Amino acid sequence: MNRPEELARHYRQLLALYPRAYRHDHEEEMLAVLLDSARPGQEFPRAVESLDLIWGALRMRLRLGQVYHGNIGSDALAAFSLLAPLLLAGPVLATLLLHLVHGPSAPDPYFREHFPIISETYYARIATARGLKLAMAGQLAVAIAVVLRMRRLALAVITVILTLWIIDAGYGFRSLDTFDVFFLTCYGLEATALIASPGPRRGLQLLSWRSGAVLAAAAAALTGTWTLTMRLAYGGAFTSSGDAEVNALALLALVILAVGVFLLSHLGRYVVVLFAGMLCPYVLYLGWVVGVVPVPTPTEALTIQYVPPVLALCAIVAIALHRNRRFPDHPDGTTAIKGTRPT
Amino acid sequence: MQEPSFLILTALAAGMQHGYGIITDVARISEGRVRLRAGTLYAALDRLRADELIEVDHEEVVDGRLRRYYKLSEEGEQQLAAEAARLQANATAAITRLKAARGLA
Repeated sequence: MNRPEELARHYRQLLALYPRAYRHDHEEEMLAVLLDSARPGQEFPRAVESLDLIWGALRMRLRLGQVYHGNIGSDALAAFSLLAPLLLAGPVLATLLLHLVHGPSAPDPYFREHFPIISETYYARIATARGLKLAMAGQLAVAIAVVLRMRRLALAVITVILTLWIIDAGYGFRSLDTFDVFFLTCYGLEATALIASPGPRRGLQLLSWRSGAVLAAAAAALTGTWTLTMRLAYGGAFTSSGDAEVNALALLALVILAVGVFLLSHLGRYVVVLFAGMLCPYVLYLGWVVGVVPVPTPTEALTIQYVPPVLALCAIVAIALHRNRRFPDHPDGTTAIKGTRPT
Repeated sequence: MQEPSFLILTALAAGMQHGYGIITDVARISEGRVRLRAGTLYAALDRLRADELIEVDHEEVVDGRLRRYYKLSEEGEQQLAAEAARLQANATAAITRLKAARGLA
């Protein structure tokens, strides 16, 4: 083995410290730079080079302040870090505004007639539960932060709220009511996406009008499904015929949206899976109305509550996969990047 | 903006360059004061790409080695110009005050 090959082998050993997906995209390019930078006759990486590569690999693995393009999972999480707070901000903002305008004792018929999409349960609880108010206000702050592409600010907001919650838990929830499982889960998912991905800035890069159409449909489905599943979870709201009509219309709208997006976006089976899952609570509800499905227990209903966020994540993954497929791998083993002209 | 990022953008302001070209150009621009290593360079390039300040132009294979060429984006040009103006204003203010202080002394 001659000297350049020996040196390249040593460099590859150091580059192996980088995440696999990153290596797939950058290894050959970085190796070329390292070999071009080598002194004549050099056989081993210099200490300063080795430290620089080790430190670079460590930062890339921790992804602290680092951004990596080209990895499907990372892109999916980046889009999720942008869209999850936005999806949740809509109903949260509407509920908070309603509460400000009408106070804690808004007449139920008025509420149900004009704002059937917003959870009555949350609306009623917000008057007394300070922890819930904090969670909802925090969710709005996170949404604003991700729109401004400020990943660290969004993470700081989540950290503050979770810390307050945990501290309050130590005092037996004397100040902030109790943990809200839904918001706790959402904050956890959002924080994970913000930490493990390049964040909302990259998420914005990924969006196109097609993915926007899918996500608008997903947002509508998420909001509607959230409302319905909250009612399922806490019960007592299924006796009026108005509910059946509202949910039948929501079901119809979802089906039309699904067909439209399916035809326009070419996302194919991903959209089918996504919407089929989102329709699940509606189908269960209609089944209950006609007596085919037994009334769900609170546990079953709470399980259904987690379907929409998970499916929203699936939507993002589907979009990321779809976008990635538009830039297939190069024959030489490197991943093509947007704007790259393969040689 | 950190100095390595500023120097990388400055290197790309003259036209697209590949990784090794950026390293040598940054050393030239900084008169040898800043010598980027590969790990530092690619961490910075990834960050700049995420911020949409640079983008990949094309890639080619030279002597069996892959070269990926980067170029400044429109936003990168604007940010570099803004940062350069800010640094220039700061430098001018510093020089003016130093001259004034020496004049008074």
